[in-house]
Amino acid sequence: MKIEKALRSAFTPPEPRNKDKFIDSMRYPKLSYSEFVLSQICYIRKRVWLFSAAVLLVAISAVYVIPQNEMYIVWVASALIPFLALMTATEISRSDIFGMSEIEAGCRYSLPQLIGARMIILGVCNFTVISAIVVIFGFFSPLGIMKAALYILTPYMTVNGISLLVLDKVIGLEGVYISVAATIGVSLAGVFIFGRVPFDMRFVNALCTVLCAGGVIMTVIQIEKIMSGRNECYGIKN
Amino acid sequence: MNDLAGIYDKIYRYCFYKVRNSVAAEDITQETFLKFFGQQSKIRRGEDMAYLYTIAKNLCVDYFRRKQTLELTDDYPVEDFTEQSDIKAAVRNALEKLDERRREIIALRYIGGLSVNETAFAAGISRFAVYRLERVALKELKKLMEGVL
Repeated sequence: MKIEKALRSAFTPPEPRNKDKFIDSMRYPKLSYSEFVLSQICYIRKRVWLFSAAVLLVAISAVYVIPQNEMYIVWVASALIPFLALMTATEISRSDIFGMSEIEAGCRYSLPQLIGARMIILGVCNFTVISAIVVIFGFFSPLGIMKAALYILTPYMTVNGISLLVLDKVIGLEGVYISVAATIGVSLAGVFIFGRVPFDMRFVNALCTVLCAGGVIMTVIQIEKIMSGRNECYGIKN
Repeated sequence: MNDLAGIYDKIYRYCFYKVRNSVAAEDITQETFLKFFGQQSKIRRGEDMAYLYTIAKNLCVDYFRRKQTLELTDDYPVEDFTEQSDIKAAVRNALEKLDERRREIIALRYIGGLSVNETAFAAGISRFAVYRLERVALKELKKLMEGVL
């Protein structure tokens, strides 16, 4: 037996008699939900914040650098935004990817609570980045707010929906690889559509509307499924 | 609150090591929390944990001042003389032979479960001094327990 281990085991006191009673009766300020959510910020990987900042910077610089061709600006956003969605989806599913969901569920906060907090943080972060890009593109390019929002939200919501579906169905790193492949596919499709190939813009708008709506529906279904499935699994009432 | 229960156990364990009486240790543990929450709003990791131990340590000193004796009680659970029990007794005896400062560092680190940072804050010394004292104390303990472990 190592000395460190021996030291830890040599001083085992008798069970405290009034611990539960004392803790139950003690008045101390409990952690509020907003404090709990804020406390989770430091557990989100730095690469997520860095990538979000990079996407925003590239989008801002695109407005100034790229000639005033509206489709070129969307081309840049279409190439980058899917990866922002991928980062979010993999961050939300991190516990499953690394097989840590059971351990996290046994800790102080349940896994659904942690995932909910992460979704709120990442949702606010992505909403800020996307809103900023939409506003910048809407005002500084001839696109207008509505079209900019549609073209930027479409790849984001599509990748979100696909990645959450894949990460829910395929456990582990394989799920991440499939999601990355899907992200690259959506990114390339965006580049192809908004790049140099001339498409009928009415067709593009209709396609984007359908894809965006589909992505939103799929994302909502997946989030609801993940949360309710986990709640059921860990005995938490909805 | 699981966190609070865990911290309670650690403080209680440390107090029991100090006073060797479960009732007194539990009283001191509870008084530690009451004093802490009288001054602070919540326990965060880091310095706050060390602050809790500082309060507990001072209360243990007060306990001995009141009692005016260091006599040990037989409050440990009854143990059979198995090899494991011999080892435990040997560890306790060896620890008693260390000088007070080293013993305190070992108590904070291994009985109290504090990190190096927290130990440094609780003992009022630098992290480097904690590392050095801990290394020397462990080496001395190993020497004292040669043939037992």
